[in-house]
Amino acid sequence: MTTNENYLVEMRGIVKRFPTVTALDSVDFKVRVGEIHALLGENGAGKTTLMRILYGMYRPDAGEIFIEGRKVSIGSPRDALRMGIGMVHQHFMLVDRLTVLENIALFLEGGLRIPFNEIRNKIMELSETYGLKINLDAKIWQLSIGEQQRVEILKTLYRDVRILILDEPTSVLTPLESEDLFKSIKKMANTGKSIILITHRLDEALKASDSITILRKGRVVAADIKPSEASRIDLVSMIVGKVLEFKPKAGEVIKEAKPVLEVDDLRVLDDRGIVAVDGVSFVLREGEILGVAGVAGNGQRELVEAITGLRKVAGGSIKMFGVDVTNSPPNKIIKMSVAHIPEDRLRYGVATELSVSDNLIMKLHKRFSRGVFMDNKAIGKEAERLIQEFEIVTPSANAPVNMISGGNIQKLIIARELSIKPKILIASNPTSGLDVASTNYVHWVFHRLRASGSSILLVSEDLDEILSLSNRIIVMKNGRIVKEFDRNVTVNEIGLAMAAGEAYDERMRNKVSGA
Amino acid sequence: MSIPKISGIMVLLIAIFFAVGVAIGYVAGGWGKVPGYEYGMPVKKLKAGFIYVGPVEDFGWTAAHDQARKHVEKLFPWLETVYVESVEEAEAARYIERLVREEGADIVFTTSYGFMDPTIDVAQRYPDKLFFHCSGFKRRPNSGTYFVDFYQVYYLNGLMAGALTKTGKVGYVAAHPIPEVIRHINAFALGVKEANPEAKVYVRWLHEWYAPELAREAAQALVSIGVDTLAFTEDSTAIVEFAQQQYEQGKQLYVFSHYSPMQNVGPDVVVSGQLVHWEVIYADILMKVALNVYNNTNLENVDYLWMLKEGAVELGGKPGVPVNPKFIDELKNKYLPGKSISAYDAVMNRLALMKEANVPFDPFTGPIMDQNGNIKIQAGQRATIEQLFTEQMNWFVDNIIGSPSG
Amino acid sequence: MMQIRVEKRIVVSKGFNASIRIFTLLLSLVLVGILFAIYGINPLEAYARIFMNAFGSEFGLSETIVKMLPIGLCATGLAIAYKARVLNIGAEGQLILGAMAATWIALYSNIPSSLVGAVMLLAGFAAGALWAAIPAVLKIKLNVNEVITTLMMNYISLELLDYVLTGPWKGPSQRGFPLTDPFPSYARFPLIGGTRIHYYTLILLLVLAIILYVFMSRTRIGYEIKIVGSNPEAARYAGINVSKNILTVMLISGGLAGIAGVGEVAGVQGRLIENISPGYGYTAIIPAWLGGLNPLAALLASFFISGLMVGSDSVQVSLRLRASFVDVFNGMILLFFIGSEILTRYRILIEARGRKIWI
Repeated sequence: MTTNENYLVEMRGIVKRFPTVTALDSVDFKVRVGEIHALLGENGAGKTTLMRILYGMYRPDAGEIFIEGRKVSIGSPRDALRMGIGMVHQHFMLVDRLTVLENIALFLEGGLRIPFNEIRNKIMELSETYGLKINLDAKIWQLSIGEQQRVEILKTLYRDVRILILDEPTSVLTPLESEDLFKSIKKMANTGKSIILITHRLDEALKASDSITILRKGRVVAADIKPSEASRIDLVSMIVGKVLEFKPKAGEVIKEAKPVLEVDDLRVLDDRGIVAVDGVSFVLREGEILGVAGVAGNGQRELVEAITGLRKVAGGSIKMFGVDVTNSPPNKIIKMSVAHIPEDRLRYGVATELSVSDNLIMKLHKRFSRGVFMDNKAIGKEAERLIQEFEIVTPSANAPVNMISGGNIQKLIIARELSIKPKILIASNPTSGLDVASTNYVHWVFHRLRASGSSILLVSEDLDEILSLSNRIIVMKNGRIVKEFDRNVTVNEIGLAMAAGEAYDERMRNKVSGA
Repeated sequence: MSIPKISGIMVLLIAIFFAVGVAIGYVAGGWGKVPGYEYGMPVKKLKAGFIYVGPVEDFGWTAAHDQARKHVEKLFPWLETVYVESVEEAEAARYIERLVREEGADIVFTTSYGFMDPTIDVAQRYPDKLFFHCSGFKRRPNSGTYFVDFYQVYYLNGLMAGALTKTGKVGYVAAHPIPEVIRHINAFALGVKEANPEAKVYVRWLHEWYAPELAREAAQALVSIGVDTLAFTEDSTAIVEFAQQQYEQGKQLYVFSHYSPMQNVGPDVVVSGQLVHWEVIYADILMKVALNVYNNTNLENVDYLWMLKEGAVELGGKPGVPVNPKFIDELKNKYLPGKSISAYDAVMNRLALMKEANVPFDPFTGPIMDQNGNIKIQAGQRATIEQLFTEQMNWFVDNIIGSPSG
Repeated sequence: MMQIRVEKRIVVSKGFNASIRIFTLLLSLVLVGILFAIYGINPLEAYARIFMNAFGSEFGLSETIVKMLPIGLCATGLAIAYKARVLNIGAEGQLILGAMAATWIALYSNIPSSLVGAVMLLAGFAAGALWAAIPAVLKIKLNVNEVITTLMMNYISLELLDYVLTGPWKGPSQRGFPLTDPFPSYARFPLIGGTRIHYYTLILLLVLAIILYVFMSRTRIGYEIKIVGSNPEAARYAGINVSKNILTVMLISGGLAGIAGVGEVAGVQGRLIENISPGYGYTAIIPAWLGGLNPLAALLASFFISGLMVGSDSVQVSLRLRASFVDVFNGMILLFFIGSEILTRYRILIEARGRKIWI
């Protein structure tokens, strides 16, 4: 069988069934040489599954794969790499304690001798060619998420891949880092490599890709769309199958309402014992959404964990409704109707071996028990209600959480946290990994929550999200609050504060030492 | 305490059965015609089961029992045997019951002290079957006991040890502080004292029956305080190997092997030792069972305690070699203090006396003093069975350094 | 050239799981069968005998149950602990402590004879639980790894047992051997006629397994334990007291092992002996996992493991093979069965001369 010479990758009639769902239903997918191809779709549409088949992680139940017109069978990621197919996953596969160079060496096939010098030279060359700057001798744990991603990309490039699959690469990056990444991707495409970009961010697809394929519920709804020929609204309707966009209204700045959360001169250490939150003070008032902007890794995580009782406070105080809760255990804080959507959903948010319904009542399980026994009937009812309300896609309420997709796990967590009817909601990147429709729904729910008088501390890397929801915004940098804005502020102004933080910080330090 | 306690009626019965057996055999004309057939006509086929505490190649306790089992199986064409090895105490009852219930064994020998209660329990539940427990003291109409004892041989070992030691320090590496081991140490010490009244016996406890590493360390420790002669109660050849190594490095130690033939392991160091012949007891019991002398009504008082006289134990580190020829000259040149008899001759004389039917010599003949200077056995008297074989045996002879309580 | 690779399986169905297990079991039987054949024994006959010896005769079945009692008690408790990801390796020591507590009650206390049985069980539970509480507290307060502490506590308990048997509890009528005197008859558990099954313990085991099953699947504490086991960070986040749950599972598993010890002294041996347990506490780890950490399934797995052990008597007794062969036989079958666990999570690719075989 022959096929069009132009296509580097051609997947035909791919079918993949999981025990309870058909993830892919005769999907065709083609990528040209030197093309950046965006694979768009909602959570659970089958994007990742399709790419895992191409990368040899899953075996399709039916269908054929052609590389350069030759039919191939890809039994494993190793096979894929030998055929020139590489993939960078959402979760990086790096060894924290090893250096960048050692991590790349680990990824190689070959004998016992590791040609470190050879690797070093080639990586330097690659990083030069594609603009992927990296310190080869740094340990992985010392790197930012963006830098770790670069290591992952270099790892695959070192294997001379011609097809590079990137799974939601920008979900962990700051806007600036995303820009850099797309520049590098362009350079790769120019050297004849094909890049497949899994994303649910429309703007990215439109801006960065040469061609777009859209999946919905395991089927291709549109293939090979040229970004220049498509409008945003067309794409949205193709992705979600219905047009629905909620435009939230940012709230007024509230000055009179009583404070519900008061953080005073808070100091918190990170896992390595280094100061991560360095004297932060702010007030969250009743009926207000306070946005916390900033590049990830500037102390937001530690701040949130300290407020929710998950991390010890090294100094300062936290008050909720006027009560000192500094270093209180999480259950005490939960009892004060404080909900928490954690940044790391797999670390804190869910017990993946347990069922969706068990996870949905995790915070309220005491309320769902009669005496010593769990009230399974009531739990089942509540679970069904939340699954429906938040459109959690799951084979059943009793399916273990590790059977559902990342976006649906996020929905599950949000559903649960909102189900406790919180007076304070601490939300970290609540819509990361969610598709357009779900993001809209969450924003609407936040809006409603505020209207009912609850308060939200919204920590997010998505500046649009912060701007569109918050009453006030604070910007964090190096563990400090570097700037506070009311809602009448532009993305650029915030971005400037995020970047200027460094200088600001420097000035503060000089001031302190000068005093 | 040499003949099993059998009543007069029993003796009569034995005679009658023997007579009947011989008569039938003669009439049948089979006498001498069946190969290996030497002990009369079998009444029926007999199946005997053996429960061992260790593996059959343990080169010690269990190996000796298993060799005896093979011996009697060959000896009696009407006998079939089955064994189970490496049986833990906690599981003994199941194996015993399995042998009588599932394997059709007529008689089961259980060869570890820890099997005593399980043996009695199963015996109670299978009153038609016969049981013999080795080294215990509980009996029933269908369950007897048997044992051998080495104290006579240990005494002879002690005589040689006392004669050979140059430093006057003799070591004894011992397993558990129980009457049996204490009795053996005392008998050994009595021998040492007789050959060399100045010498001391240094005792080290292992609290293990089988512990080659510990035994080796203990021997090393003893040698480091000047001991040049070693005896032991431990079921491995570790100490003999240790002594042979020392010899090869130029240091002559004298060792008395324990229970198994170990002279080949230490040809230059093993002087003598103790050997066991369980087959003598097994043959006797099985023959009597085959002839229905023993049955499920009369074992309540059957308690074998066989020694040199019955041939159940032997002096030596190798069967048929009471003293390693390498050391005979040295022993012949050494006279017992104040006597005109050489150590070698003394050993041989007393060995002969203890083999005689009325056993005219016993090592535990008073006066014997303990470590605190108390008279334990009055002058001219022999120790009683109770003194030797019960908890009363909890003292050390006065030339022993160490504690009898471990 | 042949290449073998191992890769993670992404999705596993229940049917696949079951067939993998059956396949590996058959594979182990074939391999052991070859060993039997080498020794000149018809493997089918051998397996028939092993099966009959374990389950097919009244005696075999009763002995399988006798063995299942301690293993099952330990395994159901361990299943709960492991469900909470508390890796208690100390059931052996907890069993010994339970046996010691029962011995003290039976021989040295002045409790009225009609109450002795019940008090022995309570004391055994308490002793096993307390012995397990030590590593639990060390884990909670000092974050000491419980695998190491529970294992070390086993050695301490063995030394303690050795001490009491060679010292203060050495029976005056035992001629210096390290045994206690026999328990008085009122301190012995009654047996089912003609067998050695001490039915107090049997009833207790069945009831406890059901209670634990309900406890894990229906109660609030069971729910919390499952969350703690699946993701302790998430449990903390959800306001669940992780320390309390760790202590709870350690007390339960230790207590059950303690009861197993009571059963052994009062039901089987009738006294305390040095090897009161031929490794029941360690053996029980296997059925706990084989049963998928479900108490009822762990009990069922204990029954089969016990059957395997009792049945393999026949390897020695009727097939006349050496005792070490029994260990090989048991070891192979268990190894394969545990190995199947890995096959359910990873797939193996054998590539030779261009052909690929997936397992």
